[in-house]
Amino acid sequence: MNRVATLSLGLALPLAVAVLWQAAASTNLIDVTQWASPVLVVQAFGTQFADPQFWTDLSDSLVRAALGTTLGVIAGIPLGLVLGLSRHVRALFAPILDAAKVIPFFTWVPLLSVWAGSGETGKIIFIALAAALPVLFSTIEGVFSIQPRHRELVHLLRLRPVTVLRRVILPGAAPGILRGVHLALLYGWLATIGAEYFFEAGPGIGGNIMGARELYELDVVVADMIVIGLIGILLDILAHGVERYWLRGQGGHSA
Amino acid sequence: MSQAVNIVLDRRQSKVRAPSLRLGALRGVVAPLVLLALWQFISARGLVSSLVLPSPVQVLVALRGLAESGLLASSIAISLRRLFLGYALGVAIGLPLGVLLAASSLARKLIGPSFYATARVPLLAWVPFLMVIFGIGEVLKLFIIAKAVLTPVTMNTERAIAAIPAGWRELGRMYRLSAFTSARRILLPATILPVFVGLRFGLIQAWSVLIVVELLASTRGLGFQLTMARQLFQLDTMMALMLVIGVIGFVLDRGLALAERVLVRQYGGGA
Repeated sequence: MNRVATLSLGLALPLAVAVLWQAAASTNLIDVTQWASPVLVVQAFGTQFADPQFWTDLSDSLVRAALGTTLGVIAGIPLGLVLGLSRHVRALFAPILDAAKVIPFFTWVPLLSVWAGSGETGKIIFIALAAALPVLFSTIEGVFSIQPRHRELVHLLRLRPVTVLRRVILPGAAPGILRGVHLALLYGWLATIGAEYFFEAGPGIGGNIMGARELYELDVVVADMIVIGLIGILLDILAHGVERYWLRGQGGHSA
Repeated sequence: MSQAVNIVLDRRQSKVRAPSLRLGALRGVVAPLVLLALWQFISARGLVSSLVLPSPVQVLVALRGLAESGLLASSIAISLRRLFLGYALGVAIGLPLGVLLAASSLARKLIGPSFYATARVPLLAWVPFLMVIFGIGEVLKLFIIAKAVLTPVTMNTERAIAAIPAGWRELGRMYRLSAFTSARRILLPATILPVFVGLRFGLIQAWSVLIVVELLASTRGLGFQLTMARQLFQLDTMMALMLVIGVIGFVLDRGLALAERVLVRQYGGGA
């Protein structure tokens, strides 16, 4: 009973908006060709899902995001480990890292598009950079979070560097690294959408929504927007699950 | 649901530890200087075409050119005006909304789910939607910035108020404090820091999203000048503008960080 009440209260606002919007559209109070209507949005979902182009766009974006994010993670973890482990390297690069943090990320788009081209390469590099930064920073944090007594143990036992990396550093930094990968998935997805806005037009869900915007197809824009949001949420849930599963497997190392 | 807030906190925590002041301050300058020298060397020697990689000196010259033509000042003024108007709008909605969500369980149930659902749709996906609704004029920038600020401010305000220990409120009642006194002595100290974190994160978000919108749909402002320079293949001007955008972002962040430190000193570690 209580849950039903909470649920219906939560739905009341969006429903009210939808009803008002639909009423205004049906009574021609607003111009449907410009402002669409809830019914049109639902229909837009239908036509989008039936359109093979939509699925091509979506899968292209997902592949692009996966490729760029993977590259970014692969680059970010070792860099983060080095920066986290060596005080000297960190001191050398701290100002550059801080600068990387304050320049809004999309500011890089025009420059990257000159250097790497406005095509697929440029997009992938942009996504990889967007994914690499959170991995880098979280990995550094992860290394910082390794217990000092574990580091002491390394000195006492005179372990080989490879063993140290495998048995002490990676497990110790795992929570940070995983948090970084989690963020990388989200940032990588955002960067994918952004790359498709800014770089050369091509197949992709970001291109799809921008195309609809140019034609003032509000219904398609809203449908695409919801799809983009849902994929972000799915990635979040997925990453959260992986993070929890992995840290449970490590046992005792979770923060 | 908590993810956005986690990210807010992560951003704060992931600050790279500042190197110790004695050697560190010096060491920190070495790498950038070496890179800068290398960069100047490469482009001065013509190893890479200055069309692809203008030298630092060329970038500075371009910066001076922008400054002398008055374009720099007017673009900065336009962008900052947009930022502050949108920021003010976002805070003006976000703070009361956060208080409302924390104070009324009815509001929480009625508005909360819609608020959190819309917060989960990334800002970037809102851009085309708002472009259809508002066109590409000033109103678009105002709303997109307000939206960027609204989410962290509302979330942090709601959480901060909800986290006030019940004992504190009881104390207020026991001492029969007036509404004003209890707001000043209990609500403010308990919430000001987390709310401020939201305000600070919101400002950085707002600055980033403003650049996005200016790159995408604008005829004035720093982001637009960047797009223009891109179309003319003026890499020196592009880098000069990136520098300006970065410095402004840095100054905004540092300014609020400084204010935060003052607040921490005043109100301790918070609740």
